[in-house]
Amino acid sequence: MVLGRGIWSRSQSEWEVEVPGAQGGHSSQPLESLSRRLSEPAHGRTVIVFEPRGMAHPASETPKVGRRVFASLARVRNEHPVVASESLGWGMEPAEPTFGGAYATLLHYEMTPGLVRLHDACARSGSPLSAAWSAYSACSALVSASIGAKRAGCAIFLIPGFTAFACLEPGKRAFRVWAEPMNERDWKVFSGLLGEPTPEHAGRVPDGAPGHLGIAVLAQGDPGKLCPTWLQVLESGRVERVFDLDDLAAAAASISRGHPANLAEAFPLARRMDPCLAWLAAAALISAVVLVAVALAAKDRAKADESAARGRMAVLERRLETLRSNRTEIENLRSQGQGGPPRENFHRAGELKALASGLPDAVTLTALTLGPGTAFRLEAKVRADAIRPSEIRDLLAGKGFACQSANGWVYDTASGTLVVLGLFEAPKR
Amino acid sequence: MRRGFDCTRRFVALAGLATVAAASALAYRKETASAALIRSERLRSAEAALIAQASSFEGYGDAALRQARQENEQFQRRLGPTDTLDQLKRLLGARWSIESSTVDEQEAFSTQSITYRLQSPTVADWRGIVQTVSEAEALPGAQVTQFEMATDADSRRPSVVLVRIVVSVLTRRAATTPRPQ
Repeated sequence: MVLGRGIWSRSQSEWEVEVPGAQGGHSSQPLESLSRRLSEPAHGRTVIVFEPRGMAHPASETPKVGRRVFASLARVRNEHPVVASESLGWGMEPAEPTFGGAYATLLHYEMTPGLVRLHDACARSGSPLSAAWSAYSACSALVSASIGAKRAGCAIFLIPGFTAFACLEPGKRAFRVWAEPMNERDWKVFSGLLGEPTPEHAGRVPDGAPGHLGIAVLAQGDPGKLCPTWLQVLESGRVERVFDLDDLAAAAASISRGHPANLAEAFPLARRMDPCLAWLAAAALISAVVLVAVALAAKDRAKADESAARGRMAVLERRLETLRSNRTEIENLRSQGQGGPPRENFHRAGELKALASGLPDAVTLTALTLGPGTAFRLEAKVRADAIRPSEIRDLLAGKGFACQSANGWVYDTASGTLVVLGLFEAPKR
Repeated sequence: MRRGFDCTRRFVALAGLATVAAASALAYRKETASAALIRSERLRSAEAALIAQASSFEGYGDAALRQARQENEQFQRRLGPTDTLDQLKRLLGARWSIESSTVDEQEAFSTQSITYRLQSPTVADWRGIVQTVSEAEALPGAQVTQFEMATDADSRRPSVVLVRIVVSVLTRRAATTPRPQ
């Protein structure tokens, strides 16, 4: 936490404050020290309560819009140029209705650049600045969560080196900070802001009584030593609860980083590429694994195909070898023989015997030619009174001497000469 | 508000390494695929060449070899010894005279075609002629390919004027022996 000139940090047992340049100097000195500390490598995200000297908390009328639209309004940009700045932290409380139906907000912003250095330091450390809350925003969140804004209309900070008054009442929100040692006049103003004590309401304040709502106290150490009017405040009976810095830190950590009062939202953020890179790496690794697996599977498949092809080729080569051997042997066999199927075997003696037994006495063979092949030609003298030609024809056919269908049978009845041409076919028995 | 990009070296290095790994894997995949393709193409063309070679040996299959062996075996059985002609001469005797003769000499055998004519044939010779033809056909290697008989058909008592036979003699040549199967 940066509260005034002090940098508050939690050690093991208690909150410790470091006040760089305690003897006076430029307001940025605490931030330089904090920037150095935040630059150290760290993990997680950083949330800080940022309320150094030089913060402004003006109230502003606004339509009921969000931070982005608010910052784009010309009137707002005119009145509060900080909303267009990229080096000054600024935030706004959510717009709330005021009297007359209008809406108002309370702005928090730096007058000089400071938070941006912390932002850069956090980015360097690896623990990016998630949110920076004005003390008002953190206090408002604390009171809302613990007491309720209706019961505690205001809050006071009584912290060494840092005194502040926060009006939390809707429509009247304001924040006044004393980051320097306070004089009597300052305390009078402080008391004036709190309002005069009302003894008749001691112990309990009726809800909704203007100026007399409860007070939330944020104190570090003994409030009596820090605030000369502490007894009067206590006696007013309006103190609802006294919180410490642990409560404030917890409340600050609990606020959503999208709250419009986040001062760090003003800075341009570099787009974080780590998730994209992580996805890219994961996708690339998965792709690599898949590709290697696919390649190995394809390699195995190719090896199997290759092996099958080699098997087929071996079979083919054996077959070729066999065919070559066959060819050699076939050519050799052919050279030993006539080539081609053997010639037909004739049995001329059988044919002659068949013819002799087939011819009746009425037929006298006068000429006979057997061959070439199975062809035959015979001539005979026939006694026409003894036998009919058709009988001769049947007899010859029965012995295998069938005449040709055309011009194979010539019979001259006048001379009794018969000429038969045909192909001998051994009779089937 | 966002401006520019921000990332840590660790993630950049991780993404870079992973990208390199993916690129390497892709290159490996491509390399193996192309190598496999080349090998496959080579094998395919070699296989096609073998198939083409095998198809050029059509007609030399096992069936053709079996048939050739069978034909050769039949042919060898039909071949007569070298003295077949002498046996034939003895069988036919002096009445059968040679009209013509042709010889076809091959490497392993010879084919002789001889035309014999019976001198002064008569009708009574018919039975003997049939017997002679039958015996000639029984000689190994000899075959009566043609038979011709003619008579004087115009005379009142026909007389045989011509008996002619053509004998084909297949003989193994003296210097050759059948090759083992």
